[in-house]
Amino acid sequence: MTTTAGRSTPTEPRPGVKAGSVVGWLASTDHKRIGLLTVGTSLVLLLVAGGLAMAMRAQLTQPQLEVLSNDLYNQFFTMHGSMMIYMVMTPFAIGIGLYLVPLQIGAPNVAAPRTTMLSYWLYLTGAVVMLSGFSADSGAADHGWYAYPPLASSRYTPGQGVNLWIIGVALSSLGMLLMAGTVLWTVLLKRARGMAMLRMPVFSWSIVATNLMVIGAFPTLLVAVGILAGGRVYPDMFTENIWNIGYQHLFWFFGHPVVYVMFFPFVGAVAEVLATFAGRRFFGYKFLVLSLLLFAALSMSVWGHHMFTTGQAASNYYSLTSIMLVIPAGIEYFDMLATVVGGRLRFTTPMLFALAFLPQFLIGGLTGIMVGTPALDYQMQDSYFLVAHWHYTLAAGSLFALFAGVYFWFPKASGRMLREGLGKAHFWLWVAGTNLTFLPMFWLGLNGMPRRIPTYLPRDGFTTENLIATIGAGLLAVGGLVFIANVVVALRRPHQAPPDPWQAHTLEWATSSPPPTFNFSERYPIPPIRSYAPLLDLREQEQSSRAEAG
Amino acid sequence: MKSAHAVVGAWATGNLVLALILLFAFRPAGFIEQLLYIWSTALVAGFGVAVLLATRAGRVGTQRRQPRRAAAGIFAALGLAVGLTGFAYGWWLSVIAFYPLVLAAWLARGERLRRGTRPWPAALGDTEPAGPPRFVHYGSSLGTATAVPAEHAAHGPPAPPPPRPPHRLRKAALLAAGARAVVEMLRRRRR
Repeated sequence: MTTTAGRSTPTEPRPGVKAGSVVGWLASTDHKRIGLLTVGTSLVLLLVAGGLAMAMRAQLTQPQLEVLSNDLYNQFFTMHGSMMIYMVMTPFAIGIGLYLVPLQIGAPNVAAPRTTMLSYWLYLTGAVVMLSGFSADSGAADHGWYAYPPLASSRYTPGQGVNLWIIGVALSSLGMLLMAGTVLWTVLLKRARGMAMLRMPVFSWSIVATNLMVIGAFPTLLVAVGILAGGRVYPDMFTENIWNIGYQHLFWFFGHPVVYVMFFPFVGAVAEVLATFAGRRFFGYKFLVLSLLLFAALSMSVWGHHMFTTGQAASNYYSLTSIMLVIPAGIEYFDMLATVVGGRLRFTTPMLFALAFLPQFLIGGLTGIMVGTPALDYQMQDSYFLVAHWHYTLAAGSLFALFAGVYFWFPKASGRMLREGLGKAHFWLWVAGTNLTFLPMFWLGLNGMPRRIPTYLPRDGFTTENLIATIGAGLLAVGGLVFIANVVVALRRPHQAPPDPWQAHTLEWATSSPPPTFNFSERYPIPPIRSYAPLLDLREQEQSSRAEAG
Repeated sequence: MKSAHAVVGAWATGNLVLALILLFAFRPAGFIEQLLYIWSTALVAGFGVAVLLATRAGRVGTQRRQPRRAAAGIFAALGLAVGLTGFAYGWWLSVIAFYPLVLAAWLARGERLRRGTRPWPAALGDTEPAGPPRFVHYGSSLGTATAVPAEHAAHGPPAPPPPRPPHRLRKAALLAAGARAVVEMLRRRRR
């Protein structure tokens, strides 16, 4: 427990608006509330996207099942991918930055909080519009999450589903762009006195890199969906190859950095969790900062590796830049491992999720190098190998890190502790479920199973792996239910969280749980900031003064 | 602020270098790739320039003026969503979108605390408000702001007590007495 801990500050409602009222939340200008709304909405949408995935796994359990029609299967995989990328992982990544960064840099609020709230509402309306595609006569969008023309043009995919998908993506992306801009502005201009850039926590740096990528890449997505919308009105446009290939370039110029947008904040979260539960200062802080920025800058130059098989991208260049990503990634891995090695480890639930992230994401990363090589990519294009690689990156990697962050910061945000027993049950179910689901997909891909097929024949030899994958998906679903139960129990039968339940290192743990309106108050002042781990500094100072006195 | 400039500047420079490598070492067939690089670099560099200008304007450090609510954001987002849905269901929806957007613009005016205002409770206790204060107004801000204590000077002089409404009975008695006096007066005249 840090010495900065104190009693919680009672907050009273503003006259006319109750603090906990719906209006108080939905029109709030408090970065914590907007962040929690964004993160909460994305977790609810994770359930929706997960439900779609479960239906697809049920369809593929055995050959020639008819759980879903072919059309519905196409809609489900499109909406699963679109929801996960545009509505779940990206908003969660940016939303958790919105919640934590002002706290970590000692700012009372985010810069331009009204714009931030506008961005949340753009995201929410975007999600509603995209999901409303299921109510359209033609059904929801069914062209895959990247909506390549000419397939996604009105000539080949008529109906409102695609139009609603375009509107949903545009609204949500615009919202995320604005949110990222306000958080980055806050970091660059609104830090507390003493909080130099190189004293910011690792997580805040990961958000800087993330938001730089968002600013550089997301406007391109808006242009891309604008072209797609134009092509829906004038379908002849897509008879010209320049528009089709141009769309792919624009889309992947967004599409690759967004992978790191969905990854970097979680690397930051894992770094914080590892340092806290290893009881050590994060190893190689400056190298990690440099590697994050290098990684992010390089990520803007690798998009062409998604287009090797089109023959319309400079393959050598993109292969080179893609493989160069190993350097910053290696630095990050080395730093994280070196932080853990030799530490006094505490195996709490967030620590378990963070530790599992390391080998699981490594599988996703190493297979990424494989598919970043043109000769191998030509073989694996559009096979289940890619599905496995992608899910090891985002599900086994980012989702595990996401839950490490959720278990770590839930007490801070809610003032209540999650139950360790239920958390560990969730963890083990997910470790088993994730690897059972996605590992067999590598074999399916190598054996030639194409992605996006709604069924297969018994003689194809895909049955066993698909059955294992579906069993794994069931374990993931059960694990998800355990997590929901954990949250419900924590809210219904609260175990109050002290300001710093984990003996953590960064500024957010110096204030109450949950933090007061402007994050720090006279009762919870900002402690002296002398490094990127100010609370650890305080503890070490206290220990040394005790030692001197004793 | 030098490190902030360095981050954004290094980012833009790094991407320009990569674009030049692509252009001269690999000679791609199309022009889209270079355009994308330049576009992205311009975006990040533009953000960097905005940060630089804000720094020179002195907008650095803790922000003191805070908005009280963000209802305008809700209506702006709804307006944009309804307007864009016109792409799917007809552009007449854009006309409907006009109203929430106007409402948002109207609401946005009153949502920010006035210049010289210090949010209550102040995050940093004894700090001065931002900018030259024309008057001090201890407004409340954000959904969970603590109410200003009743005895605080921000409330101004105590309000005068409201005039007491006349009691019904007293009113009726006065009316009866008045009527009786009038009747008596008329009787005396007759005599």
